[in-house]
Amino acid sequence: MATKKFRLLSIILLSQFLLAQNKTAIPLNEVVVSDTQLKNFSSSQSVLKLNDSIISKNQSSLTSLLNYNSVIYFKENGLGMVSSPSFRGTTAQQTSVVWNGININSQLLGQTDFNTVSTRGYNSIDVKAGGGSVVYGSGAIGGTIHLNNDLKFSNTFKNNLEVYYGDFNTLSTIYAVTAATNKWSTNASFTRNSSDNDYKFIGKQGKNSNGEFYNTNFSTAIGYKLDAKNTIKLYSESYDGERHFSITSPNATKTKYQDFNTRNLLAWTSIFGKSVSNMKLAYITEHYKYFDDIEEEDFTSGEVKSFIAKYDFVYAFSSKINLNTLFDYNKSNAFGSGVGNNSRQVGGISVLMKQYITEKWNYELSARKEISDVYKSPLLFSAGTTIDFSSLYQFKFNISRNFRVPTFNDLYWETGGNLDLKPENSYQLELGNNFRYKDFNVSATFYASKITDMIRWLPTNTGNWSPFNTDNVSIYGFETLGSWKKNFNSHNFGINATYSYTVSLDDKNNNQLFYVPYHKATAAGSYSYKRFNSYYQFMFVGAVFTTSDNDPKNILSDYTISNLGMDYNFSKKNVFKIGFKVANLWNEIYESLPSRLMPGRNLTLYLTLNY
Amino acid sequence: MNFKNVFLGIFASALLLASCTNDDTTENKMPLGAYDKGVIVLNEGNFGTPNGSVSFISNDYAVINNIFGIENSNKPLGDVVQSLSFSEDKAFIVVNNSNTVEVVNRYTFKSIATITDQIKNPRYSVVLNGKLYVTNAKTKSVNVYDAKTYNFLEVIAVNKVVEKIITANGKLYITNGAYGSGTSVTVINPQINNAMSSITVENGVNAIEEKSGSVYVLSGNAEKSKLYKINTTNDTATAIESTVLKNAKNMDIDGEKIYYTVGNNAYVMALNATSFSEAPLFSIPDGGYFTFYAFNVIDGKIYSANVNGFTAAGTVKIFSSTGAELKSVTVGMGPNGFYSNN
Repeated sequence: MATKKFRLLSIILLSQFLLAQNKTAIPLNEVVVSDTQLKNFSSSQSVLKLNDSIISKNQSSLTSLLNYNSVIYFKENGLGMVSSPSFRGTTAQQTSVVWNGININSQLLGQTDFNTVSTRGYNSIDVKAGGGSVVYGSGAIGGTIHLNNDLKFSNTFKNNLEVYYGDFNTLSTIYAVTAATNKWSTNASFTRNSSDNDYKFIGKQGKNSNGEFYNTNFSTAIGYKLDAKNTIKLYSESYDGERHFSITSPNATKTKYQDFNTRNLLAWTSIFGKSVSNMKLAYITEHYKYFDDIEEEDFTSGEVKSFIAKYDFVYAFSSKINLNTLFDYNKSNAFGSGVGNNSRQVGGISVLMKQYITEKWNYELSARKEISDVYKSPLLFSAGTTIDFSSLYQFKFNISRNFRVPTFNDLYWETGGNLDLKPENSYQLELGNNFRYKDFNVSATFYASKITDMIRWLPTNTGNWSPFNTDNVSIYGFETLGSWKKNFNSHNFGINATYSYTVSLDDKNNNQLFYVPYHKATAAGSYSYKRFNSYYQFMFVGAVFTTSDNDPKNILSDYTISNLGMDYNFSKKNVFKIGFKVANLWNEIYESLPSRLMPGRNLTLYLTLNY
Repeated sequence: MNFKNVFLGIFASALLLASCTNDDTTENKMPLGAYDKGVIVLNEGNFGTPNGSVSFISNDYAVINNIFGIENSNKPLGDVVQSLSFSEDKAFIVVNNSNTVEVVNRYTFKSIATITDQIKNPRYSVVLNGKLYVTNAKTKSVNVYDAKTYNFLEVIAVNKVVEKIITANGKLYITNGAYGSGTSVTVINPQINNAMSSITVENGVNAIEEKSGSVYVLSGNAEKSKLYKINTTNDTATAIESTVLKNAKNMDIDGEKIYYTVGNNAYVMALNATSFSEAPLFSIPDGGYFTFYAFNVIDGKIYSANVNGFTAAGTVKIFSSTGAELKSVTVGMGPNGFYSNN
C-alpha cells in the first residue's frame, strides 16, 4: 500500500516537474489526439466512435459500455467479474485494448479483462473492427478498442463531478479537472467504483455471493507546446482494484483477485516542414495477486514491466501522399508464480502509406516486420481502399494479415510452457459500404477471416498442460451500424444501432465455436428537450452453444435487456444534472455463462456537476 | 477458456484419477429403486461451473443422465464431483470444489443430507463402524462424521497429502499422493485411539484396493511401476515391479484379476501374479493425460471414459474382460469414475 501511494505521488510530482519546464507560448488552437494512426490510416476499416456523452450513460466498466453500444459479445462470470470479449467470432485474446496508441493487453494472459478498465476517465473510446496488427501488434485480430485522452489547447478551466449510486450499494464517483491555455493543456481524473454486488437472483433462490469489488483509477494527461513545432505530452494512469470472485455453489471456497496496473507515456511531437516526427516512450506495468482462499494470507502473483520506445515519422510527399514509418522496441520483464523470471525483446518496423488518387478515392498500404528473441514473426500487412461514389455512398475494401504472439504463460509456464510456439496467424478480408442520406448514416460490412495455429492448452501425457498451435478457425459475418439524428425546435432525437451476424467455425468439425452467438443487436435511442434528456438502451444476444459439440441441450438462451434513463439539468449556464437509470427494465433472467446469473431490474441515481 | 492460465494450477488439481470402489455384490431379488442393478457414473463437471452430475448405466446399457437432478428438483450437485462411497442403502458423493458431501439413497438418488461442516477441498470418503471418514485436502486431515446423523465428530490430522481412503481389517488406509507423486500410505486404527502409522511405497502412489483382507497399492512414475500387497495384520508390504511399464495407474481388482493402465493401453494379470503383465489387453486412442480418465472393472466388464476435453459431454466405452468393445454411450460432463450398484 505504501509503495502504491508512493507511485501515485511520483506521478503527480513528475507531472508538476514537467509543467515547471514551461517555456514560450505559441498560439495554436487545436485538439491533439494521442493515436495518429487511428486517425490517419484507418479509413478503409470500420471505426465506431463513442464520445463522452455515450460513456456517461453506461456503467463504468468497459464491458458495459461496449456490450450496449457495439457488436462485441461478452462472457461475464457475473456482473463485474472476469469478462472476456469475442469480437467478430474470435477469442478473448484476439481483441486488443489500445491506450493512447499503446497495446495494453496483459502480457501474461494475452487478453484484457474488460471489467478492469474504468471508462469514465477517457474523452472517447473507439471501436475499430478487424485486423490492426501492423500498427497495434499482437492480438489485433478481431478488432481493437482505443482508449483516448485527447488534449485541447484553448483557454479552459472546468471541473466535473459525477456521482452514481444504485442498488447493491454500487457507488461510482468521478472527479475530473480540465485546465488549458493555448500553450498547455491538462486533464486529470480520479474515479472510484465500488459495489457490494450482492444482487438477488431472479427466477431462483439465492443471491450473488462473494461478488463485491472496488477499483480506483487515477489518470492524467498533460500537453505542453514548447514552440510552434514541438509539443510534449505526458499520459499517466494507475488502476488499483480488488474483486472477490462470486461463487457458484453456496459452500465453495471464496477467492479474490487484485489488479494493480500503471501506464505512463511520454510523447514528443515535432513538425518540420512536410514531416511530423513523434517520439514515444512508455512504461507499462501489470500486477495481479490471486487469493485462492480469502480466509488465508497466501496468494499467487505475477508482474510484468514493459518498456516501449516508438519512433513515428510521417512525411507528406504532397498533399495527396503520406508516408509513415514506425520503429518500435519493446522489452518486457515478467516474474511471478508459475512463470519464473523471464524477459523478452521485440523490435519492429512498420511502413504505412496513403495516397489520394482523386479527392474521392484513396488507398492505404502498410506492412510490418517484427524481430523477437523468442518467437518467429510473419510479415504482416494491410491494404485497403476507400471510394466515395457519391455523397450518398462510400465503398471500402481492406485485406490484412494479423497475428497474436504467445504470452509469457504460454512460453514459460513452469509446468508445460512451450518455447516452440508460433504466433497465431490470421488473414482477413472486408467489404464496407457506407450510406448517408440526410440524417441517416448506415454502414454494412461483410468480412471473412481465417485464423490458423490458434494456441490452446491441452493436457499432455506427463499430467501437465501445455499450449500447442492446434486449432484452425474459419469466420465470416456481417455487421451493420446505423445512426439517425434529428433536431427541431429544441427537440433532439437520436438513434444508434448495431447488428452482427457471426459464423465462426472450428475447422476440425465445422461446429460453431462455443460462446459465439450468431446474432447480436444493440440500439440506443435518445430524446432531449431543452434541459431534459432521456435515453433507452436495448441489447439482444442470441443463443450460444456452451459445448464444442454444439449439442442443442447445452445452450444458453438468447436474452433481450433494456435500460432506461432520464435526467434534468437544473443549471442554465453550466451543468447541474440529476437523473436516474433503470437497468434491466423488464427484469429479464439472463446469463452469459452457465450458472452466472446477472442482476434483475436495478436502479441508479446520478448527479453531474460541471463548472 | 478465459483465465485458463491463471487457474491452471487449480484446475490441474481437479484432475485426478478415478477411484476404484468395488462393493461386495449383494444379491437382491427386487430392485430397490430406479438406479438399482447397474453402474453409477460420476461426471465431475467443469471447474467453477456447478454442472457436475451422476449418470446411471443399467446392466443392459440403458443410460439415464443427470439422475441427481432428476430426483431432486434439479438441485445443482456442484462441481468437481470427485468420488462416491456406499454404506448400506446410502451413497456419499464428495463434491470437491463445492466443499460438500451429498448423502443420497443409493437406489433412488433422493437427497438425504448435505454435509458441509469443516469441509474444504474434500477428496474421497469411506464408512467404517457407523462413521464417515472424508479426506480433506486443504487441512491435510481426515474428517470424521456420524454416518447416521451426519454430525461432525472430529478431525484426524495427518499433515500429509490425503487422497484415497479405504478400509481393511477394521483400519483405514489412505494414499498420501496426488498428481503422480507421493511415497506413502497412512494407516489409522480407529479401534486404538486413531493410532497412526505409515507404509513407504514407490513414488507416484495412485491407486488402492482391498481384496480378501489384503490391501493392494499401485505406484507409477517415469522409471517404473510397482504394485504392493499389504498384509493388514502387521502392515508390512511385499511388491512386484516393472521397469518396462512406466506410470501405471487405474489399478482395479475384479474377481481374481488385477486390471491397470499404462498410457493408452489396458492390462490384466492374476491377483497372485509374481510379475506385471506387459502385454496389453486392448488399447484406445491416445488422448494425452485425459486417456482413461476413468477406468473401472465391474463384474467382468471394463468401463472407460473419454472426457472429450471437458468441452462436451463425455463418452463411456464398455469392453469385455478380453478387451472386445461391447457398447459406447454418452454421459455427462467429465466422467471420472464408475461404481457398481448391483
